[in-house]
Amino acid sequence: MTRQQSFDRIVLLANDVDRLGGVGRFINEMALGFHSRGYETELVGVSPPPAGHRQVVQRPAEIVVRTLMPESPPEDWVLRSDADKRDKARVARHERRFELREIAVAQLRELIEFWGPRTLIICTQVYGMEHMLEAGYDADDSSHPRVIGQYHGSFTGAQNTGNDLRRVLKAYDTVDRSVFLTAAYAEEFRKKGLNNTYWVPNPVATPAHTEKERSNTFVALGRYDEEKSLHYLLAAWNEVSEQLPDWRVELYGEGPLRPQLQSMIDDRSIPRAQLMGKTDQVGEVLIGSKVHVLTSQVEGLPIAIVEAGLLGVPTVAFDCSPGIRELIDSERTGLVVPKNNVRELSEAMLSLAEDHETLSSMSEACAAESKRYAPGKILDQWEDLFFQMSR
Amino acid sequence: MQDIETSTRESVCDDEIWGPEGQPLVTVIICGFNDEANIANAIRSVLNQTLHATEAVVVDDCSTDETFDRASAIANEEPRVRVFRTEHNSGGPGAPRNIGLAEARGAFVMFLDSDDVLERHACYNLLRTAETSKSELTMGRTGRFEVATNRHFGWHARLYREEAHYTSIEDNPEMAIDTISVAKLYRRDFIDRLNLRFLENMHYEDLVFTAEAFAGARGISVIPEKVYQWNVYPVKVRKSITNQRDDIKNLQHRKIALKRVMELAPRNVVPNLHDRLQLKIIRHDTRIYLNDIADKTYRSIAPDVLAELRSLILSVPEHVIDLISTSEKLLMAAALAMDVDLVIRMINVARGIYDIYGELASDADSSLWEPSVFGQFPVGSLERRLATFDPRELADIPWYNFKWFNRVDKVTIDAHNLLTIKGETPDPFSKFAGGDVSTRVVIRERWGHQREWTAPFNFTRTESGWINWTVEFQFPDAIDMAIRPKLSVRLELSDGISYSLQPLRAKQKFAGARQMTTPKGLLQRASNVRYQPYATGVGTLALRSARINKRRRKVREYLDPILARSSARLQDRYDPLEPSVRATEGARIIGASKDAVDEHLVVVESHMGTSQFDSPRDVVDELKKARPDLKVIWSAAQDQRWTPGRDDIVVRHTVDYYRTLAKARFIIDNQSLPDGFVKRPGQTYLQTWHGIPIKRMGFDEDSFAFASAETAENLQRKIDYWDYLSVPSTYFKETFVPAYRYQGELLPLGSPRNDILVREGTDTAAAKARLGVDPSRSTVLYAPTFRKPGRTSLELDLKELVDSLGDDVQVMLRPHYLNRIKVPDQYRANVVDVSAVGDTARVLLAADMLVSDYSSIIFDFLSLDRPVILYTFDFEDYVSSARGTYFDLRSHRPGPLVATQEELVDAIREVVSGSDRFAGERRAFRDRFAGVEPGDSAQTTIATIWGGK
Repeated sequence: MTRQQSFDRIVLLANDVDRLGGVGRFINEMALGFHSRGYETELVGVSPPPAGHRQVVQRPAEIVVRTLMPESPPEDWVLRSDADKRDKARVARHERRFELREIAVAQLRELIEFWGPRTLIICTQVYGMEHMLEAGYDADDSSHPRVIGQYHGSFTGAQNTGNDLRRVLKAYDTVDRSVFLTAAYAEEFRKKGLNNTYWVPNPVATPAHTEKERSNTFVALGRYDEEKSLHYLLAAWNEVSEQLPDWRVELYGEGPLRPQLQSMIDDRSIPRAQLMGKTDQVGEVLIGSKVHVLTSQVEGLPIAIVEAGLLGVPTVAFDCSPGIRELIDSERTGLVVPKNNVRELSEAMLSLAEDHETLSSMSEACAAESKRYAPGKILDQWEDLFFQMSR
Repeated sequence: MQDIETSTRESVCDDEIWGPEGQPLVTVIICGFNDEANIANAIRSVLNQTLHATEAVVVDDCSTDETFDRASAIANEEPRVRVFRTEHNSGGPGAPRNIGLAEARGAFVMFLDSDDVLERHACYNLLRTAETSKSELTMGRTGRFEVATNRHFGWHARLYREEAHYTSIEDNPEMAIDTISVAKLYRRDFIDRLNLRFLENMHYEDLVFTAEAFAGARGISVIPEKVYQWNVYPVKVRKSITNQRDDIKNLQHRKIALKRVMELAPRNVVPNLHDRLQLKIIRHDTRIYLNDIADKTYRSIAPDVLAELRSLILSVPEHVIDLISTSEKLLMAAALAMDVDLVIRMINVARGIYDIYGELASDADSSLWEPSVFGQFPVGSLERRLATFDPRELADIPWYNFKWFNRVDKVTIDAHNLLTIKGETPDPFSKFAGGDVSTRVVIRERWGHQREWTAPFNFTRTESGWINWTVEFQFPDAIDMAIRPKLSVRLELSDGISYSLQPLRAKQKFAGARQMTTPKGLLQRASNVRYQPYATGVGTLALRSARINKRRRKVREYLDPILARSSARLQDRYDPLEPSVRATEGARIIGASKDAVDEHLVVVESHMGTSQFDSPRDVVDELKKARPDLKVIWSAAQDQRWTPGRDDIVVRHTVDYYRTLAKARFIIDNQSLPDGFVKRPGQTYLQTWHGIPIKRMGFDEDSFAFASAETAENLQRKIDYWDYLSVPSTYFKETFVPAYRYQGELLPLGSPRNDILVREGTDTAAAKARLGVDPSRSTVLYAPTFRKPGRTSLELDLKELVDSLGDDVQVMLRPHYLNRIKVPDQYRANVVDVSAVGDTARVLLAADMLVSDYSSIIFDFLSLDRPVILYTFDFEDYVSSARGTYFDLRSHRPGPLVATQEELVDAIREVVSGSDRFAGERRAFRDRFAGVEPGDSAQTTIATIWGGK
């Protein structure tokens, strides 16, 4: 009944593997890192990524990839009203969902035994841990793997997203560590009674790019939706565009609010503002821009700020969650303005566009600062944590 | 001591057992005696620590059951467990723990009792903090778990809100009141440096051990994590040593321990700790035994306990006793006099159940409490000194904040269901129902339709200052037989402006507890609904439906559908619609209304039905004079103090509310009618708005510019309903009117609610008297705006404020209703919570100065031309947050902006001394933003709207 000094195998357990987006990038980056440092590495998705959200990823064959459910669980399955219960298709979806969950849990039951105590599971979302618990995972059983639970959002985000807060507090109560993205988030969960909090930020690699000349562009990268609330950027730009005749605004993304944003540009004749659509050339877009603007209503630790920073593009952002100030040292590596304050946002944009010296010093400062999140450094932090867990 | 180490495994390589450091980091010492049921759990909780390098040293105090064997069995399997045994039973945890200390091999040590468990991450969390802070003592949170009821309770939780580090206990002596030796991580070299050991052969060894540790620790850290679960077992099952308070020896042991504590934490070395522990004797150690007496447990030894406590209280230095509040002093006096009845009374006072009462022998500024008892002690004796207090401390509490002991003596119910309640209320400070204050009893359904009835409360005052009272209440025939709610019975004191509801106090077995109402009518008789008076768990009189037998229950099941139907008939009138359907359902009801608009019906709503004051009231009062033919109906949210017994009320959001709105010819409002209101042709809507804005509002809010069309249209629809808008100033006209895109008629006639300020603004003394505050003292009104709940809602240290302002200033506190703050009982004469006063204007009239921040109350107060101080401790946060302001308070200000309590006190003192440096700026501010109130706004408003008719 003794414990090894470190782990032989690392399993990254996520909702799904190879899905487009932040967590998808994270598990892939981490799997490559752990593999290169000599750990046996597995990627486990509870279900396949939903259609249209899958990305193709090349990785070494030794990294085992498993998917617990044979297909994505159907949506629109909740049976609330009597009408729902009479809807046969819905009832079938409901049943299928539970069948799939049972399949996933059964697989996990076997895997828990197979993996054994020298495996560390990094559970990247609370959903996976809920399946683990259903599969009979017992943190006090020394024949079971060790588990780290991770939460990729902010504390406020957890409060505002369905039952997230309650689910995190419940599912991660007994895991060996609960890892959050920043010290501030960890502290808030700590105050809520979680006794195993720790924090490690996500790694951010420099986006692929070619060297080229920057143009006078404010750039935004985010979905056209209420959460990213890009209309604030348009409104702020509208206040100062006359004073900046050689500057422009480019909004990269897609989403349900495209018609509203477009009609806002048209109705108010906002000059030099364009909805660019989706891009897979983030590096190229950033390297050609001068200022990144983030008008989100809620964020975790937005990697867009770091990605822009790595390419020397400072960010102007709303003060929408503690993660923003974690990434931007306002006045030095970028500017943080009060949330939803259009006037201050426009003043910030104007001041950067007009002051070349400040802009170029911010550009250098944010580039240097962003290297903190280099994948190698983040992996070191994870291995520090593994060491602490072996004490 | 006999060393029976059962699990030496020399063959196992150390770093395989202990991880990378090759040795135990934390030793958890578990002591147990005859605890075979729990010992394994305790050990397992150590082995399951996420800090693997944790060892368990179990010391059995010669158990006669299998405790030792069970521990040894685990040790045979687990090299991280070692088991020892005392030579002979020592009778307490001290000796076993000392053995554990001698055997511990970790660099840090913790203690665990065999019937408790460590939280899974306890050692990791404590160690991590201890290592980074280098503290010798690291403390974590303890949770108490009541095994019998399966419920969790806190333990000094407020000490563990967040991580903290102190260089010595002198920095925060408050920590020392957590005197248990468990849930703390001790550095091994600290224990050795002080040679810390437990006293053996005595109880309360923890008090002594922790006092010595606190006094000597270099570096104390505190973490918010729960580290320890203290399992509380029912007294009958197992009585822990310190719970045996039925034996006088228990108190004697505590006294010996406390004496040793004071020696180990000497005043000349650790003065703060020493004084805090002395205070703890009064507040905690003594109190435990006095509570027992009040709760009538261990009654037989009460005289012995009081005798022992006497010398304990007398051992506390007088400068510490001086720190306690008046009610605590009287409690100590009662204890020293060994008077059980007075102890019980004062325990109830200390628990906040009612205020101090008793016979008083008073001269100018001091009263001797219960002179028949304390008059016998010599002048200058501690007893007499403790029993003497300044009566103003109670006399200066306004009547609406006073808590009377309304003792129910007898309840009778006659054959016609007339309830008669007789009782007495002591009133030594002559505060009961003086002046305009009237009394009655309010009976309220605790759930269901929440209807209310009132009944007269008649009283006479006896020569000795007691109120003899009688309540006669005709029990309603139309009781709700389906829901059968409990009924609260409370005494209401009111002058029509302020309201106070007081419970009637009944003993568990009071005269009349078996009385019952007689069922009226066929259905009541069939289902046998009888109400009877009873004493609630907190000792208040209430009424509930009496139990029925099985056979009758069957009958009721049968009758239920009929009963439910009769209950449902009350819904339209009393039950608000569900929030999710209000908008659609309200609009539907109004749309379906076939009644014509009633030319004589006026519906009035103030602050969404939560008030009967502000401008709507002033307009209505004048309107009733000018147009006595009109019928006025008030909209009231559920459970308002001002509604019982009135027939001109409609409950907000009920079906009847929307029906009434549909028929109203005139609507008077100061905020906003609900979304479900749809204006009908022929209706006239007067909007008097409740304040002048500082922050951006309406469509000026940045967020609104991009709100969905639906939201914007809904707001515009509601604004377009207004026909007239009261406009107090040009500034209001220039900001508010465009912000709401209001197109209707403007009434630039001032604010009706401020008429009274113009009319009565010269007689502050009368206004103070009317409000129940002391006319001879200066008054400071503190009215902060709404702060997000959860943040420090009030940046004010009340004790500090009271001390620094002195006796000649009374503070009136009017927090936003969502940020209610509890004024501790002992400060109520100096800090008056005026939340119970319904009419803000009455409070403004009684205030010599206003302290506020960004509240529109400032503009109203300017009508009085009295000094204003802006306590803007969070100026940056507040003003620069999302919404933005219409002007900068720093460049236009009605008074000084202060950011700290110190500056605030200086500013207040300056005004109290007669200076009014900011008069010029204030008047300029008033003229620019608030406007000059004409004083006849209500009349001119009425003349404009109703003049032609």
